[in-house]
Amino acid sequence: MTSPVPPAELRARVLEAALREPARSREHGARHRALVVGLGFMVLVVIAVAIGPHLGQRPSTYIVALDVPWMLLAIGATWTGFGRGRSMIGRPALAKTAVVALTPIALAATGLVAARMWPQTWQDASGPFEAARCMLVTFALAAGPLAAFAGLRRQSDPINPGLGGAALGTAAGAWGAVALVILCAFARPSHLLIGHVLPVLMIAAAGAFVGSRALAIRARDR
Amino acid sequence: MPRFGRTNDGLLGPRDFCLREAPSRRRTNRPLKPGRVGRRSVESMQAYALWVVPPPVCVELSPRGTSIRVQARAQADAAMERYSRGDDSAFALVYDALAPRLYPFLLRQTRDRGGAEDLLQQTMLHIHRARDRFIPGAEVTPWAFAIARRLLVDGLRRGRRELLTDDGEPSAHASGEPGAEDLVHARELAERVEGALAKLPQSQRVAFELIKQEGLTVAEAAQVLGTTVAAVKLRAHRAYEALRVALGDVLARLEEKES
Repeated sequence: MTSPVPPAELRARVLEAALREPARSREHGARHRALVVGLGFMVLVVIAVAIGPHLGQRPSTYIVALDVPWMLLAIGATWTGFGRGRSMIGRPALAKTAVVALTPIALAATGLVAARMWPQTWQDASGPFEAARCMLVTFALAAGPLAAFAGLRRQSDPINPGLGGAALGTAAGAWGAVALVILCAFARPSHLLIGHVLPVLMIAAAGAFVGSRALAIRARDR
Repeated sequence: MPRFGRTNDGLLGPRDFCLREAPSRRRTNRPLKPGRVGRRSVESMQAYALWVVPPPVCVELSPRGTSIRVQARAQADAAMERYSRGDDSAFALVYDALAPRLYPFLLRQTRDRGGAEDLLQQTMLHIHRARDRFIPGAEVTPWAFAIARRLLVDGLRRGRRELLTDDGEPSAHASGEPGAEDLVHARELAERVEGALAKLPQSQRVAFELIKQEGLTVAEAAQVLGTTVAAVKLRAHRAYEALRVALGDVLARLEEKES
């Protein structure tokens, strides 16, 4: 027993509008999502291949010891930041905040631990120019995944799109940082922090900006 | 047995209500006349106000003991699941399960029938467009409320709120033949509760309505509002307190009559 009831003509109007605007089923949506994510990461791979690997004087064990944990962190950030769990509303704000705050910290901590284990990596000749270049490359690498994530999450966050976008930006930035490890020959802790980890925070900020527009649900004018 | 009727408070037009025992009373196994509250307490006042004053969905136990509201939610989830799998005909079921709950919520927030209808249409079409993203096993009701609320807030931010035009229809009795006295009490309480709710800050009012009138759990209301469970509990508690104060004299009168 429900009241007040919506008018019957509204029901007809809504059903007719839905018919006029076909929407993908879940099966087709899954294919579409796979395609978009694939394209986003393909952009990352193309940029990485275009730049080419630069291992420099770094021991291969150092590269593996740095990149594997970073990749795990990127997977975790993507799972938490991009995934929605079992709820259509998405993960709680606390989980998204944790992704944004903890991912860069964990990346920095892992980088510093790796640098401590291989002290010879401290001796490279990187300076501000190299750090700036790595920042730009991280932005370029993260652009594809961020565009894919934001595109797939478009108009899907009714609660806090800015925070959701920041979490997506963090995940995309983490993937950029993962790829950059192979592309950048420098391993000084200061370079890692400024050139590799700081851009993740900046991309998170960019993600917040993008998310507040792209992820938000907007009312249309009557 | 619950008794059903229809009232018209002028603001939201004709609305159904049900008179039944307060849940707190049922727990104590003490008999209570329909529409009567035995003693002054927050619990009994809430129960009376919320179960007598027109709830959007009157929670009645079915013979199997399952809440109608729970059944409606399960139907909405099942219909949405079918719809997301590609069964186009299931959208009508999704609409039928969600619209009767979303519309009163939107109407209370906008105080405008046209606005509420527009927001309901947008909410349903948003659900339609997002059907490929529906997670198997997810609950559609909190999601729908979250979308509706977001659209509402966005509309308000754009300054689209319009003044209420009272186009309430004349009241009519529904089945159940509630007594005239019950109707008068229900109408009076409806007006008082509406008035008290209208004076509350929006955050408290919405938390209260989502939990008590729309039947969402505290956790779901927290999700819809994008806040913590503790914050929702606090907001709802403050709303109860405000209602208790606002309805104190009505309650005293009812107690007097009962004694």
